[in-house]
Amino acid sequence: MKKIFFVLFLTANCYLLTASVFAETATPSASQELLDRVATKVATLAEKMKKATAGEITSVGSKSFFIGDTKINVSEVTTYYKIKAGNRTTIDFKNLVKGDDAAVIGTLDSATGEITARQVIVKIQRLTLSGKVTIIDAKKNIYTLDGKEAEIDSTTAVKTATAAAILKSKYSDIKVGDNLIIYGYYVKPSTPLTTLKALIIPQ
Amino acid sequence: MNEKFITAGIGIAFGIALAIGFFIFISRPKAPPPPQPTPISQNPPAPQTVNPLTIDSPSDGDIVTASPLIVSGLTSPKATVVVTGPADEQMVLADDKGQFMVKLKLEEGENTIVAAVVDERGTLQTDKKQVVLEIKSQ
Repeated sequence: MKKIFFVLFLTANCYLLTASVFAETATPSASQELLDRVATKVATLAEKMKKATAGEITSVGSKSFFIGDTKINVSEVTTYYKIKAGNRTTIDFKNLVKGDDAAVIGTLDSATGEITARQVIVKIQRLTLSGKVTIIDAKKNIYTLDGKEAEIDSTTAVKTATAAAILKSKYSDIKVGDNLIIYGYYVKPSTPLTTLKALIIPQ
Repeated sequence: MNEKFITAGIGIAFGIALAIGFFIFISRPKAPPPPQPTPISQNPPAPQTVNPLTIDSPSDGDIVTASPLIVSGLTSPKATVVVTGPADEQMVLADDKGQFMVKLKLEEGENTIVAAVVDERGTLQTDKKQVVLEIKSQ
């Protein structure tokens, strides 16, 4: 029994002596280097956890909301913006409503799949359609692209990609057989896409 | 006795003649096999394939902190690529390896970037990436 205690005593002394020697040899520059390395590692991990998502807000709770199936948690440091007609205003959480299109930048909790938002940007999401124009209803200004309808009129910004450059055009320049890339939004799900911008790519 | 020698000689000569004849027969040049008829294809020749268009950078869901953004990708060599977003559109010629790169202005918030080429058949090939331009806090 005495032998065991003696061995334990010696082991404990060795550990304490070694620890104190290591503590004394750590210079301020080495500590700073260690701190810098930890900070870099934390920043790298935070960057890896950064996550963005965008879509329609499907429900709003007291301190969270959903975009599709993704739960977005908010905190006191979350900032909220609304962009309308190119103008940005600062808003609050209470201004978020179901049906808004929002983009969220935040930190992903990989265990739950939830995002803690740092920034929420509300604006009408621009949907895209692309394809060949197959039907033009000139009376209703409805253009069918590979089976999908879009409303294109004088309010639509139309451009044509020519061999030399991209030039301003009119919506009446669009012909059956032209390839189009359009950006717009749906006023109602069953209506044609309201087109804000159309780019003609002739064959 | 002489009769037996004569019979044996005739037999040996006949055997040698038969062996020579067989050797000549098997060593003669063989006639080429008759040509097989080439099957006639029921389908027209396939159209020339083109490289698929891909945007390599940015990736879907990227958070962008500055505009304009460099958009790069791969398509057919010397193809004309149109790259467009909600706020800008650019046109660029792919290099000999099919690589292309262009600077595109973005809007704050969500941006869907579309790159497009028209292939030899007149079909529009596209690739899309969705990115979010972060608003700089004041």
